[in-house]
Amino acid sequence: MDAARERACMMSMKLSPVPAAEAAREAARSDADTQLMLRFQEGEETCFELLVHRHSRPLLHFLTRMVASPQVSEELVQESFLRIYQARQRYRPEARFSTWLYRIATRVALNHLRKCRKDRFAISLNAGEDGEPVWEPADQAPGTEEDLLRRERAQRVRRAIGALPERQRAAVLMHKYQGLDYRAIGEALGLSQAATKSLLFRAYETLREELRDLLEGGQA
Amino acid sequence: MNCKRVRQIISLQEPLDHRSLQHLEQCSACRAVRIQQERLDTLLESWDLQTEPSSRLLASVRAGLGHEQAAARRDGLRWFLRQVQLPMAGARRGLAWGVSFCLVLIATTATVHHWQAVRQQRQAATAAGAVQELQALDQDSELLQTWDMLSSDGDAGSKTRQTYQATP
Repeated sequence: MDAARERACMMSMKLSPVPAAEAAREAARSDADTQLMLRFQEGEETCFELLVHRHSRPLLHFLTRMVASPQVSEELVQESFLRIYQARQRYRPEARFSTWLYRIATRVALNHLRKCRKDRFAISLNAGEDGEPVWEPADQAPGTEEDLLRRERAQRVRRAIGALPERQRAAVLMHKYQGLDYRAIGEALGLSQAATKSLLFRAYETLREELRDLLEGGQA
Repeated sequence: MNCKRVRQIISLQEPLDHRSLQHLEQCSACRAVRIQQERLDTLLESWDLQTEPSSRLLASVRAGLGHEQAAARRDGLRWFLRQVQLPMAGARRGLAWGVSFCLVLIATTATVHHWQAVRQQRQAATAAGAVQELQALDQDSELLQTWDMLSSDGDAGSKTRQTYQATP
């Protein structure tokens, strides 16, 4: 989608009147993505394309970390957006669009993991050991000791997060990498804020324990 | 404030309040946890992804939406057919009865209309015949009157004729 169309869509959003609603929902309603979703609900298909354009990258990263496979995660991104398309009439602007998006994406990812828990996930977790790493560090310059250490640390982190229970993993990924707050994480996972905090606390405790040697060695 | 609460605050990276800071000054284990958590944050950040969505993602989403819309249309048609087919035997019987009733109704109505039209034509024809008869009677009556007049003139004429014939 070109910038002109995006600008035009955003400009028309600013001109459209924001309906008066409860103070708690005002923030969600004023969210640009929520406005786009509401306009899509009214039939503007270009707004949906704009939402796909804006969220495909962070969603792809979330799902890649979640299911440990970039190839599968792209399919899951597609499935998530299809579900959003199917459920567009059920969308209510009670929370930010990203909360709704991650709730759907988390459900898609958990369904996928449950479906192939025993085979595919185990294979992909060990993919790095077979000489075909699923993820590579951002700036890899092979050969130097520093790069090897960085790659090893990334692999350890990946394994430690991959070994977490699925809900804890989703919570850590949303908290650490997607920047969602407790409320959004809780809504995505169907938990209260207190339960979400407790889940995250347990997950970080496990990670500290799993990566203790790296943390105490001061290599981080 | 107990260690668990302070460690929860540290783990969730929430801002430390005065009481938490006081606890940290006194508890070396919690201070160690704080340092570990800071290192863990740095370590987690090392897991950076540079994966970009492929250029065909939007195209495949569009294709998926196309399939979705086509499936929705098919589902709509299937739903309709299912609704029609659900009480299959009853629906067929009902349809047959309905069609038969309609045909009978149409045939009856057409027949009634036809006979009404025929009756009206007959009545019209009968009325026209009566009028013609009356007109004929009127003409006859006029003729008779004329005949009578001629007859009276005729007597005079016959008398004249007789007089004329009697004259040599």
